[in-house]
Amino acid sequence: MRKVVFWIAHRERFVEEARRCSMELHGVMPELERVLFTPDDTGSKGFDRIAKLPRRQSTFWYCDSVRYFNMAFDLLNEYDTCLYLDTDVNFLAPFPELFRMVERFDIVAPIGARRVTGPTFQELPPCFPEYEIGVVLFRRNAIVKKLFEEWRRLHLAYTKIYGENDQRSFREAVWNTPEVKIERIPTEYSLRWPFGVFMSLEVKILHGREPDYSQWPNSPQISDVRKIVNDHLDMRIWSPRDRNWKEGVIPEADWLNRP
Amino acid sequence: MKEAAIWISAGKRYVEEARRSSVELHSLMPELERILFTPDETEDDGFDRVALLPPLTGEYWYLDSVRYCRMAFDLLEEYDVFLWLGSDVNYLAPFPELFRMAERFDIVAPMGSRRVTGPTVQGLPDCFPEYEIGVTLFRRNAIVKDLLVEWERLHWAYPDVYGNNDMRSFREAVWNTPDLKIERVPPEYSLRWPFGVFMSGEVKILHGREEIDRTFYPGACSTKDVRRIVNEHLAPRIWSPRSKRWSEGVIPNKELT
Repeated sequence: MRKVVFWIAHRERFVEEARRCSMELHGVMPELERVLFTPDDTGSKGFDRIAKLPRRQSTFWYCDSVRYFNMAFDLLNEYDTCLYLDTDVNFLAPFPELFRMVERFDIVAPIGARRVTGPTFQELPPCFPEYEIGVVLFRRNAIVKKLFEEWRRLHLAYTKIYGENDQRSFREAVWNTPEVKIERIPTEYSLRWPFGVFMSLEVKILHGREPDYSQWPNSPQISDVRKIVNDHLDMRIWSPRDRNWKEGVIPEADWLNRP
Repeated sequence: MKEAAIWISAGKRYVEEARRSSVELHSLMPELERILFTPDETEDDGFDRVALLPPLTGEYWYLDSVRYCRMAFDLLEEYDVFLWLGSDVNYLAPFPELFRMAERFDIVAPMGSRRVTGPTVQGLPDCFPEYEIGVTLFRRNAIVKDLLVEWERLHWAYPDVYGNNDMRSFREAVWNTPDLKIERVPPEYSLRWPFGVFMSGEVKILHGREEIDRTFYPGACSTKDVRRIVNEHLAPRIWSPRSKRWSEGVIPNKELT
């Protein structure tokens, strides 16, 4: 099974963030091929390959990124399994087991931390939450191609409904593509730590950016998050929005011995 | 689409707990039919119907409960969709939207809080967690029947592997039934509050017992506290009864959101 990890990024800030992410990934999983898709001219340092995309057409990033996602799918025709990563992802440990999910499912992604962020064209049940499009693994097969085409069709047809957000249209595309077998990966493989989190066992992938410290001077840095989230591996919660976030996860490691 | 809520219980403690759960559900969703499946003789108070099952035969409860689930599926032939509830479930608000999930998926169930509790026959990836079997919605179709038959087969063939736990064998049965379309419902529809939780939006269903020895933990929370706390506000929030500060409510509090 040939695997690849890819990013889709535009503009220097995000291209450089993707490069940092790719180099960090290489540090924990050096065997994985890494490809950057971008409409920009940039060096290939930090990646195995750069794939140049056509220039942007829309003022909305997500109109282009959904289109770019479909192009990336077509261009990755020598691979069986593809992992899309956002640029604001960090890695705490290797995660080869994630790739095994395509033995059973066509596509896997985490549950949206906010569950539902906004409207869709048709009304969908609120207990069918969005998918976080930050760590998405898929098989490169005909049904996933159909899903991505539906995603692009919906997003471009109803841009005014979805706004500048690709999770809403992706959710609706999944609903409209009943053949696709999709699964949620646990939060430990895409920890949306800025919102607060529940965790069990080892956290392997973080997803989120540090806040604006001019507004939130006492907020944790990524280095704090890396140190805290695996304080112990039993079921635990933690939030950077907690006044007492520096105390670590709840409950503390030896909570059963609490007086 | 004809829908039912069901419980599968044996032993007085759990039958009475299921009755309490059913009565509570009826007060919020009176239109929903409620059926108890049990091998015990009991009154139908609190249910629309009691369906008598054959006696317990297994060494473990879960050997029988897996078998009983497949029997319940067979007996529910007049229904299109059924919701299997644990007896330790409480309700905070009606949840008719949950039944709409059967328009797209064959089964929906929450993610296991512990992710993986124990072994399976074959090695499965840790990032494929167990399903909490406490709020599980089933379409009554051929592929779900295949899944339930596989679940029963696995559990009875390998009881020494799975032990007294049905989540391990259910996980493996899902892996072994590739045509099944299964989805996870968010924790707000099955809040496993005893372990600590992350929540966003309205919590509608609680899943868990107050199994705390109050002689040792006199300050521990009750289900009544949980009902009051979890929807203090609806923005993303965390809370744990295992926190030293659990009585202060969710984190962040309403003023900080």
